[in-house]
Amino acid sequence: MQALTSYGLSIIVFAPLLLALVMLFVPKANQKLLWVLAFAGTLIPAIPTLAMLATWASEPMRTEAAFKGMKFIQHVEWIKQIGVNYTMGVDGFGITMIALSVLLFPLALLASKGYIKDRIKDYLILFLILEVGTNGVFVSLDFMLFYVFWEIVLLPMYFLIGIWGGARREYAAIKFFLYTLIGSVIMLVGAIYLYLTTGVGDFNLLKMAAETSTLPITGLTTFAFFALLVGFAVKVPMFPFHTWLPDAHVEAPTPISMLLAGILLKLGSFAMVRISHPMLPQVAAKYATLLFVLGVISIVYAAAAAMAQKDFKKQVAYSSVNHMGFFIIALAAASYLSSNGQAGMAAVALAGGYFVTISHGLISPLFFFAVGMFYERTHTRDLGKLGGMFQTVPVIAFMTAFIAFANLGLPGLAGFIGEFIALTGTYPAFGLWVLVAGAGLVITAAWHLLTMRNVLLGEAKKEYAGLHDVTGKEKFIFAPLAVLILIFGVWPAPILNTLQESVNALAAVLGVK
Amino acid sequence: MPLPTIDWAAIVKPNYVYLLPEMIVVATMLIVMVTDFYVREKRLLVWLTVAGTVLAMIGVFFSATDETISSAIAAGAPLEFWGKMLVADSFTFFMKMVLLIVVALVTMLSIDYVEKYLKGMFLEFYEVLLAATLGMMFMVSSRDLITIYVGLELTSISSYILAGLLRKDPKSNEAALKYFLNGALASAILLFGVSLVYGFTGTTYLPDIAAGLGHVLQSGVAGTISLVITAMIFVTGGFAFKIAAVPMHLWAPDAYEGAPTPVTGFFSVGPKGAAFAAILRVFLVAFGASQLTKEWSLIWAVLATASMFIGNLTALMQTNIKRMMAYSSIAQAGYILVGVVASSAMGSPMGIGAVLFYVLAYALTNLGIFAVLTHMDQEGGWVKVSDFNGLSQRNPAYAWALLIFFISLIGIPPTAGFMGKFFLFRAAVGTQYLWLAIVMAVNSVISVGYYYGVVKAMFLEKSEREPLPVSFGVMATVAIAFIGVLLVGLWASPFINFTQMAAGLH
Repeated sequence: MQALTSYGLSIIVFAPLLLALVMLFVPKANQKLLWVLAFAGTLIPAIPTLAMLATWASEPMRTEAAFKGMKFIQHVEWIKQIGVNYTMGVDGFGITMIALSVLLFPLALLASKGYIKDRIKDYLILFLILEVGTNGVFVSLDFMLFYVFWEIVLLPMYFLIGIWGGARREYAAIKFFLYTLIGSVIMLVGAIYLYLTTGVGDFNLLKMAAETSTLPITGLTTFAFFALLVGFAVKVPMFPFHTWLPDAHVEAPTPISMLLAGILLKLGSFAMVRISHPMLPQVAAKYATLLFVLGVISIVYAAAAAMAQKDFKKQVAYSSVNHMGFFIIALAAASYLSSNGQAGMAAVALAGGYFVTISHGLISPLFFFAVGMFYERTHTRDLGKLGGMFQTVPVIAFMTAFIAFANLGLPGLAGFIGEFIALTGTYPAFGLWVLVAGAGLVITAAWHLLTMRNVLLGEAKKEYAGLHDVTGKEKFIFAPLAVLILIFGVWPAPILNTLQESVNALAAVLGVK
Repeated sequence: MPLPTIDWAAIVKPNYVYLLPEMIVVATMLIVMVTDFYVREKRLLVWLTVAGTVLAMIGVFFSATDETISSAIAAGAPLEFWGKMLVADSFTFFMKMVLLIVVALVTMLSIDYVEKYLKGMFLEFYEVLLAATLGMMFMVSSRDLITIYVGLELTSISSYILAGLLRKDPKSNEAALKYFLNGALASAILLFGVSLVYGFTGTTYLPDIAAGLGHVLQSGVAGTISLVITAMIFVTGGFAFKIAAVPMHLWAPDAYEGAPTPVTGFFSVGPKGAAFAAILRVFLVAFGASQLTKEWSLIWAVLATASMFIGNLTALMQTNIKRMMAYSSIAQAGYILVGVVASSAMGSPMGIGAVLFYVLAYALTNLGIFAVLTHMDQEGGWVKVSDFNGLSQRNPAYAWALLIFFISLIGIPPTAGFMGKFFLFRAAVGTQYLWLAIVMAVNSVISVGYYYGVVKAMFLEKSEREPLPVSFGVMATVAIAFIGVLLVGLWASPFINFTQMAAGLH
């Protein structure tokens, strides 16, 4: 147990890589072994994660400057001339994301089985490398390490969309790649500027933040903040940087859409709470209103855009932009409140906003999966052509309804909690403007109901007669996520408790003047 | 009569120890030439050349670790040999090492190509390659304008010959002629600049030039400043040609396209790397201390920006990969120039270290790419993007290696190119050239556009063609470059140490 938790983070990150390397030497024809290895690669990280969650409360929090507020530290010198270290650690923000990741990757892999038919070896290897990148981002405490993992995510994603995607896959894949890359190179320049300005000579995120958070607001620090923020906002994605997302989501194969929505978007939100906001809280506070406005636009615009779509999957894609908007407004509110001395309220907003990202991570993969189930059977995602599914495939239709209600924020399911707390926390900062975001909620609810009417209700269509209902594999993917959505919908305490200390710490940091 | 006792200490003076690598290269040239008369199996010449370059690397190691030489370096006053023509500082040794690695790799990757397309002109190819090597080694190790110029000419003339080695191919002929005519013009421009500098200072020895220019500029005679700047512009123009920086880049696409593929690979890293070393030496040592540093670094900054944009944007439109790589290497020259500009802020070895690191990373990466191109080149000089269709199914190892090399050129971790870009960013941001860093960042993204075309062809397109036969030389080069790119990227510490040591330019 001790070894499992003390080397846990490295295992979580590199076990998939190790298995991917082993798979390189397995012949293409031996598909069974390839699948076994791939499942091993995604399941091994779950073991240390569970061990860490089990010992989370008892594990002491570190207090040194380099690891402040973190647990399960790994620290090895890497490039000492420029102060780059292999430093890993997690706080509440990190461990929840890791837990989400080790849950979703095996499920998405299971969803790939039978769905992906050609070049299976390539697919599985890329799939595992993707997990290396995402898990690495969530545990990095060193900027360079973070950046390496951040970029590692790009390539496998490009290929996963570009090779196995839908009709316009090549366009979608390169659009995704370019958007993210331009964001991240500018981010690198911003980070290097901060590194040189502080003179700490260390890329440790926490040490850097301790210095940079007290820098005066100048043109250059403002540049650095936006360089970081835009790099992350592309991933979240936040209006106006969201246009890659509908394309990427629609063209990606179902399992990859699940991961995109469930994990990859969270890289952006996680990076904001880990890097851009703690590093330059003074600039963040100054531009909190701007961020809030962009968040509100994300919410309302994405909701309206979703309503206008004819493609089921595109609707769900836009709903991701919508939900992540709640995180953005909560974060903006938190930096506004903290800088005005209301750290307590800021913590509420932060907790709510972060909860949204977690609940969205549970709900949206499942929604994409539901769309995928329809697509596999009917070979269409056109809302005009689908219909009467309650008559044709009742169980799938029920599952879809459950997901849709979770996604629109029905009380009692996980989606509601986060949005409710986020709005509560945002209200003291921006007053009645929060109502505009509330309007987004109403539109969201409306299109969900309309879509359900179109797809699920009505007379059974002749051309879809005789479709087979849910399979065992699909149930197996659906069950764990649905159960968690239910549990966290009525009992959010486990997540909120895990987040508590980190949220308070961040709220305090955001108030640094 | 008693035999005279040989005083080894007198013979093996640092003079000769220092010149050991050059002497080994010359000896290899002679041995290769003589061997050619007697052996039928011409491939032996290749291995002799490789052995010679490896021995020369060992020679570099010996001369760098020689007690007299290394203690002088440690004391901050490196020794000079052969009438102050050559200097023994760590910068020299680093560059010699890099160039020898380049030559060894080019030699290996060209084996089958020479046999197949150059009709077995082993002697010509390797002899001239070694001559170019010798020129480059003098170019990087001198701090006298005359020796630098002689080294540069030896390299250039050898390069003209190499470009035209496909004698029956009009494109190759055109390449050689264009390269030669443009190169001659550029040499003239450079020489004119050198003559102006000599006119001001009465010397070609770089440290004396620095002192002389100081006097001239302080004398306050009307018009001196503009004349000195004119001289600098001429010198800049001459060197800009050698590194194919905009606006002196127009020869490069044609020369790169027409030259035999392994030679193109050599052009893109060898003479270019040596020219960068010479630029650093001339501008930092001779012009660095003068109050005109701002002016000449601005000139280079403008050239860097233009090279990056024009190189990358034009590369987007190419369908022939060799031409595309020509424009890519113009853009890469722009990136490296960012480091040159940053190092103009004297007292910051950050810039020099960044240039050296990037040159190393770029050399490894580009040679890897050209090894794969040599493999793909089945018509003796012409490689289309569409030739790469479905390579990931036909020769997966090469496809993945090429992907990693492209990633390295774009500057995405975990590769050598990323670390190189990182140091360039750091140097630029650290010396108040934030805008240059941003231009570079934007250009890195633009460059994705054309590499993407090849990657798309390799991985997303299908092809019915048969896998191409794999040659040992190419495979070994790809493997070495691949390991090198990842090693320098992931385990950068020792390489940073080397470049930092070498950044002590004198």
